[in-house]
Amino acid sequence: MRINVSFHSYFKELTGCSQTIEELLSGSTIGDLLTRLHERFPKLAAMKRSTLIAVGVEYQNGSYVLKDGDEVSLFPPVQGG
Amino acid sequence: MNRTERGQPCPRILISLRKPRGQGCPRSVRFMQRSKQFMKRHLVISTDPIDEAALVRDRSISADLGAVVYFAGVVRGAEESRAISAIDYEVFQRMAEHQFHLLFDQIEKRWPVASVRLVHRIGNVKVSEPSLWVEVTAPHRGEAFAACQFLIDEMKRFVPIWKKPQLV
Repeated sequence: MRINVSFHSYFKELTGCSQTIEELLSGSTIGDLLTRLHERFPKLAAMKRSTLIAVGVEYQNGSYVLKDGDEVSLFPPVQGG
Repeated sequence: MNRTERGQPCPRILISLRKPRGQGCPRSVRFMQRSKQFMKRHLVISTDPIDEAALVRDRSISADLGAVVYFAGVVRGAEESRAISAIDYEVFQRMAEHQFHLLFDQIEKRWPVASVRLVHRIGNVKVSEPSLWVEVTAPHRGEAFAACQFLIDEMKRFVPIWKKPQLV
């Protein structure tokens, strides 16, 4: 299945891109996606303790089971105001 | 951080509420019975400068209300002891709007608030200019202050907006 991944804030600089697509096996979780992304983008792995994850517009955690076409966003802690 | 446990925005369900017996029903309770389901919401996330005077002019309050609390967040001239000229704000717009409305839902459940207006400027905001303007109206100051404080604190935890200071 295809998962669309977006990076926000300085995660775009860490990965060198704002979006990417990952192909994963059916039943994969966000944790599986992160493992793949951390291999591709080692600088992102260094931030894994402070990475926030959303699917669509809702926050999710590593155990969330992905579906084909999900839009996953990764970003650092928010700083509005 | 899993927001799903906080639930989806609550549907607007009208409930028939019985009038409490006896005298001395607090004004805020009467207000909640009449108005709680209809907390007015005004949310703007935009690159436009925040026009505080226009926002104050546009305020409308009913005779039930005794408190208007508003707050302006202004860009300081230093970040972590380094002088800056401005802050560039970035937003994940669709998610930010959704997360703001989840916070509004929580306010509507917790306090007898009549209205919330929130404006967040994004893009380049220079030092001494406002990046955030929040207003809460309610029957009494306690709930207005509490809801305003809650909204700002929670916004800084959940709403996907980031800032990049521009060093002088």
